[in-house]
Amino acid sequence: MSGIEEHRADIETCFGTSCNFCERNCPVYKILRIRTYTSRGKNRAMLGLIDGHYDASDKMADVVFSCTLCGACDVHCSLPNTERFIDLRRELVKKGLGKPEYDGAMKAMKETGDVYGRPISTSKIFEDTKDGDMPLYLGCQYKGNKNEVWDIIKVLEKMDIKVKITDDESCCGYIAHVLGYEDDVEKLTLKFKKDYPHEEFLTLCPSCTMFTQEEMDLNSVHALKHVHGLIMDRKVKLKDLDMDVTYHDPCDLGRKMGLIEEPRDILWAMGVRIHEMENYGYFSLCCGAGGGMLITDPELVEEMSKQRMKQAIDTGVDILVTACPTCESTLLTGSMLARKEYKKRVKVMSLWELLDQALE
Amino acid sequence: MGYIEELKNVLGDKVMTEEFERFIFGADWSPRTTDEIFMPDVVICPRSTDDVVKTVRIAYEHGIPVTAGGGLTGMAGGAVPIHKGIYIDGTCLNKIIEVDVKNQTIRSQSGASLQDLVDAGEPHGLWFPVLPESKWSCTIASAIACDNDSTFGMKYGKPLNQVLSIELVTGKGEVIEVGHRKTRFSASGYKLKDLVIGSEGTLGVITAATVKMEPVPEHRYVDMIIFPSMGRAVEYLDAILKMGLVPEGAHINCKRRLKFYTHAYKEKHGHDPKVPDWAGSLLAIIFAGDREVVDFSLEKAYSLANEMGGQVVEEREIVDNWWISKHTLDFPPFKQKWPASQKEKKFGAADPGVPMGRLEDFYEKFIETAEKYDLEVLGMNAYLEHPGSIGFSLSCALFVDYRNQDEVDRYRKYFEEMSKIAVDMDGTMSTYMSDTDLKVP
Repeated sequence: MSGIEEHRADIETCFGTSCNFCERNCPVYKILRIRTYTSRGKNRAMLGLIDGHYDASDKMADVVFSCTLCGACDVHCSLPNTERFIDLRRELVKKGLGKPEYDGAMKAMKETGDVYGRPISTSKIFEDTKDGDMPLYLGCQYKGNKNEVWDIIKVLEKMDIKVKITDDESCCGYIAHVLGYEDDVEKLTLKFKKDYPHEEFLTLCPSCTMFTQEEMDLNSVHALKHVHGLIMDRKVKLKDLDMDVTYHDPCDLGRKMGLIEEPRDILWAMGVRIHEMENYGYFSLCCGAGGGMLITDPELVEEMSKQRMKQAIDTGVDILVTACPTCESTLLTGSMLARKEYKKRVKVMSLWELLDQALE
Repeated sequence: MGYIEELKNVLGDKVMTEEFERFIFGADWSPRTTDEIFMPDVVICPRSTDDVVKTVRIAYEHGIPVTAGGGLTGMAGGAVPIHKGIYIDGTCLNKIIEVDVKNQTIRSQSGASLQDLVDAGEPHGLWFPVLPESKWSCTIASAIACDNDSTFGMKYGKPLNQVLSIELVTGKGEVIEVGHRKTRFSASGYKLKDLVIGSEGTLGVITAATVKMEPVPEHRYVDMIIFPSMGRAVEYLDAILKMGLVPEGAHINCKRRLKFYTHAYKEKHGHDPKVPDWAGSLLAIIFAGDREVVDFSLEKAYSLANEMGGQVVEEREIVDNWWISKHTLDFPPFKQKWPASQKEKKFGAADPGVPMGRLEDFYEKFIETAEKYDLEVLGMNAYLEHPGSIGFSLSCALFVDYRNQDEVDRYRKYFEEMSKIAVDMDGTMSTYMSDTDLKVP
């Protein structure tokens, strides 16, 4: 397993430390309570693999792909664990131990440039934005949801941000990256750069933002960061909504990109009082949908989303706000499941919806 | 039919047999090279006492060794399956069974972490005060099995003081309960519960326990006082107790040990915290309770320190860093101390007990012995672990290069010699190295 050899020093540090702090907020471990699924468990499994004690197996792949890559283990550590687990996924894929459930998504991405294989022409759907001056990249999660995107475009317009969606987008490659399909990542990123030749652009999806910034070194800016700047500079007037909510930090937006205060500043600026959940900010708890688990284990994702919504219920508020399309849809399911079990409904809303209300 | 097949038949997917699954449970936190991982033949993830009973009965019928483990943060190999066979991962048994607010008790399955107990008590104004630094991972069963140390030992003691009752699966697979249900004492009968505490898994597999919780204090203040020697700090604590003050916790650190606890300080400032050259020890002292009582206690403690040649640490950040490391674990994101401070070498410690008058002498022997075996000293911390009285549990720690077999072997020799020195000083070696030739003197 030469590809993971480079991680040996960190894996040995984990072996030597054995603190288990990584377990504390691991959303998978909280549900399954089987230690092989923790960061420490996977690190030690890698150690045995590197030292030749055993070969990789389907069961190992089951464990390694049952991870949301949320980074909760990283934040309680000082080692970059999730990066290592993506590399382990690559090795497993190379050995033919990738999950067959991903084949459909990978084929769709390569053939259509869309993770769901939808023949969507963003340039046609959003033709009316052709006079805009700031490119807005939607990403696979948003581009099939044109009503929600139009609502966001209108919110941005109310703040004098004229966006344009004039190209036929293709997937940035993030999904292929986290699933370990490295060869395909290269092809997808090349196609992305060809189809989307902008030096600077706004984004809506936290994962696309992170991937285009960190892996492709592009000047992408999450739209909420841009909006936050305008609000802090008092260039936008917001109505007081006088509401009580809790805020769910999307893992890629908060923990990984550090946009933790910004969404909260925006909420406070709209007169929204935030009641934090047990886990928030850098130490937030994943909704469960990361790392490709929606494809391989939707039942476990449901359990994780319910787990997160239980934390929302415990705050006593009726509304959970978030800023990621994947978190939003996943937590919506979690809200329904939690309602059945705990007899309380917490409505899931996008931060963009509240901004729309505050800008009326 | 082989025993593993039998286990699979009765326990289904709670039985783990793949090599990578077994490899994970082959080592704890004790210094060892990666060649010294003992892979059990099978791992069981039980969800109930009945699962443990079934496992142990099959093991008994077939004569298979059983090792039960918890968080695997042990520092002496106690839960390492050196005889292979069956490893029972106790962390799978993590349910809180009952919170009895009126009687201030919690009953939990054995794999609940010590922090799980704290979390379960929190909504009711209760906490579990037996808390080592590994509280996020250390299970109640492991704490019982090792009668582990606590940050708050000077007021609440150890598991021996706070555990009321224990459910145990014996070697033949029988379920017994030892202790006095929700009460602390019984004037008659054998103290079987006390026998189990510290028995390191040799009497059975612990599957549940009832513990005494305590009211959460309104206020807590931690401070640190510098003394010219370890012995002077002991005299000071003796005077504190004589005066009638009740510290919640007390820890005597040598100067070198302080550096380990203030890793975050060094990361931030680029240098270790500065303490006077004359400092021979740094006593961390904790008072908790109503604010005015805490304030009164501190006033008296400071005044006495001044009379006895002590000096309060001026730089508050030093104390705060020590406390983060010791108790709150509130490390900055992505900068947790343990992996950050152990990238080259790891923490390894001999944990003896010595009489109160021998601390100074023992400290000197500790340094001499470490030097004899050419090992890097990390430092000594004397945990005060008996409620309202002076009783040490020492941590004589070194940095060990666990990638170097020769150094690991030298560490084990150091450990053995430290045990003998402690006994020669009328003390004891409180932990053991189960997977070496070293035994409890």
